[in-house]
Amino acid sequence: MSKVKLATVWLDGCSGCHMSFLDTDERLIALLEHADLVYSPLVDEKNFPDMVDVTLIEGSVSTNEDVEKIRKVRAHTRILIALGDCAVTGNVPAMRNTFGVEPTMHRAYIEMAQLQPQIPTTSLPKLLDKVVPVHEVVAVDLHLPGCPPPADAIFYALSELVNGRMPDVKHLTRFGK
Amino acid sequence: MSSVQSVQIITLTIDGKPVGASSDETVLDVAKQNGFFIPTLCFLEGLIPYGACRLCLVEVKGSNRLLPACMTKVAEGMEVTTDSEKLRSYRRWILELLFTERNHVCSVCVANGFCELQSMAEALGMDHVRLPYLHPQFSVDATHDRFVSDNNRCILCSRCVRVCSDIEGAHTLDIMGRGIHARIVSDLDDAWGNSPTCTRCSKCVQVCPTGAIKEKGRRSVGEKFKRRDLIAYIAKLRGGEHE
Amino acid sequence: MGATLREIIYEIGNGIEDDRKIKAVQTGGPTGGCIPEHKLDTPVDYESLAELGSIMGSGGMVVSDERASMVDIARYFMEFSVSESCGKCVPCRVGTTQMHNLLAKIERGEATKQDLALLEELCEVVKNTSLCGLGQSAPNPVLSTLRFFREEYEARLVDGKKPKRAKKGAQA
Ligand code: SF4
Ligand code: SF4
Ligand code: SF4
Ligand code: SF4
Ligand code: FES
Repeated sequence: MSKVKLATVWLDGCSGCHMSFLDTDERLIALLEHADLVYSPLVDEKNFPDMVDVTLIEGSVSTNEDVEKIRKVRAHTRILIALGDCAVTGNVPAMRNTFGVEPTMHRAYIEMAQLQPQIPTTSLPKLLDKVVPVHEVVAVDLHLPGCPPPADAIFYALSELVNGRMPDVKHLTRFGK
Repeated sequence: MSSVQSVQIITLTIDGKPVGASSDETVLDVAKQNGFFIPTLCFLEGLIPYGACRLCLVEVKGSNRLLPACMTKVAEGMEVTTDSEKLRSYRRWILELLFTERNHVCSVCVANGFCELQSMAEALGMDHVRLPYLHPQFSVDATHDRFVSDNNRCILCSRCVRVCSDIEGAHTLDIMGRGIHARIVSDLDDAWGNSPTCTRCSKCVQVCPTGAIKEKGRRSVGEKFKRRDLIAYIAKLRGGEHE
Repeated sequence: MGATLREIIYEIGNGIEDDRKIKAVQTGGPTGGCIPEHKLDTPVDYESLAELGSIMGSGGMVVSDERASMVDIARYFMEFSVSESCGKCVPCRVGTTQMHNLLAKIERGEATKQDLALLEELCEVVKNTSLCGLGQSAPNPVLSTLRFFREEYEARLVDGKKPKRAKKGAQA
């Protein structure tokens, strides 16, 4: 049996979900006997492969770059998993939605700046008016809430998936876990 | 006394199982006594039922509408269904609507891990919200020296209003505005800290199912301490004055 | 009572300005339903109106001519329900706002098939779980316009069926 192709993607999140993924510790080695990590911030690969079996998405969709990325990932992924509260609900990144882009930028780059207060105009992707969860932009096959989702929930979900079963994770994690 | 005489022992069925009950009980009371789970949010033992969250809706044979178990008295021969595909779907929708209504960011909320809205979502398997979040802007009232009211986490269950008025007798808290703009205020929409009526009893803190009313001094995530059972105890001591 | 809608509109009401065609009649006030032109011979009584998904309600009538957008009409009436909801129960308090937002999204031409499916499901939820008559009837304008004018909704979807005669781009 050929190995399952696994990818992880990091959008607007704090990397905590990836840390929780790594927290599966030595079980990761067992998992990688059945799966290849083909694309991830954890591996050295610049281009998203042609077809991936399972992709974990950390983070909300917050910029136009995120939108492009997630559409591309969706088109090249069989089973897409929203990993963690930012991807599932918008979570902390979406707290800016209450105030709007302008006041948020002003707060971050002018009011809070200690040196040279200025709003950056280059090198940063354009912020969307509203931060949205992944499923508002593309179809999501499985939701794994939690901030971050416990390593046990991630491991259980992945080990079921590499064995060709769709996991039911509803009682292993919840919003805010 | 006459009310005591008029209470009768009746039988009804819940999910096909025959159960006995006394005619002054609600469907929710009887379901609970017999080990059936009906989800609730606005209901709290000891407070007058309110019927607002609609989570406890059940099917009753012969009724063309769904009925709230917390408000519906049992009757002889009643046939109640507490669980069906339709009810599960409606309950999930109601939770989703509540999550979209205000700003629920569990990971940074004082009630994380102690919240009835959150645990209800877990219990009913609501793992994502299909509608867009509304992200409204509500201010936080931290003027009280002991408590904070944060409408951003409120589900308008009115437990705080009922406990403050019916159990404590202060009626400091109430709901102001209508529809989607309704919110919890103290007195005539004044700062809670200036309230001439609040006795600082903390009953509202104890009954609030979410992170919308909290006690000061517990600052970090998941430190909201609750004694929701206290109210039922106090109401019992007073001997059913709401009957 | 008993007179047909057509009689009321043309005989009592003197018909439509500039002889434009009637598209629909909304009966029963803001939470009533919309009745299409081809049902104008329906007598105005409780049962006949209920059969068409509308109500006698206040007895009021709003007649729209061919220029009207039925999605817009549904959204307009939903706006009324949003502001009239008392806010006690969850489905009506939040559901009317969410239905209104979905209708506005369809009107702007930004909605998908999935949004329309959510709107339909939400109508059922609000109708069947709200505490009082306001919430229970708030979805009526949406349900009845969907029943008789579904193609107007679909034509506005990003991924929906466009009517044959409309040229590409003319819909946006
Ligand atoms: S009140 Fe409950 S559901 Fe809302 S953010 Fe806090 S923990 Fe989450
Ligand atoms: S502390 Fe007591 S008196 Fe004050 S608002 Fe809360 S319940 Fe009412
Ligand atoms: S503040 Fe708490 S108890 Fe009061 S209505 Fe809001 S959620 Fe309910
Ligand atoms: S259905 Fe009735 S009770 Fe419920 S919010 Fe609407 S107007 Fe209020
Ligand atoms: S618990 Fe019955 S309506 Fe809220």
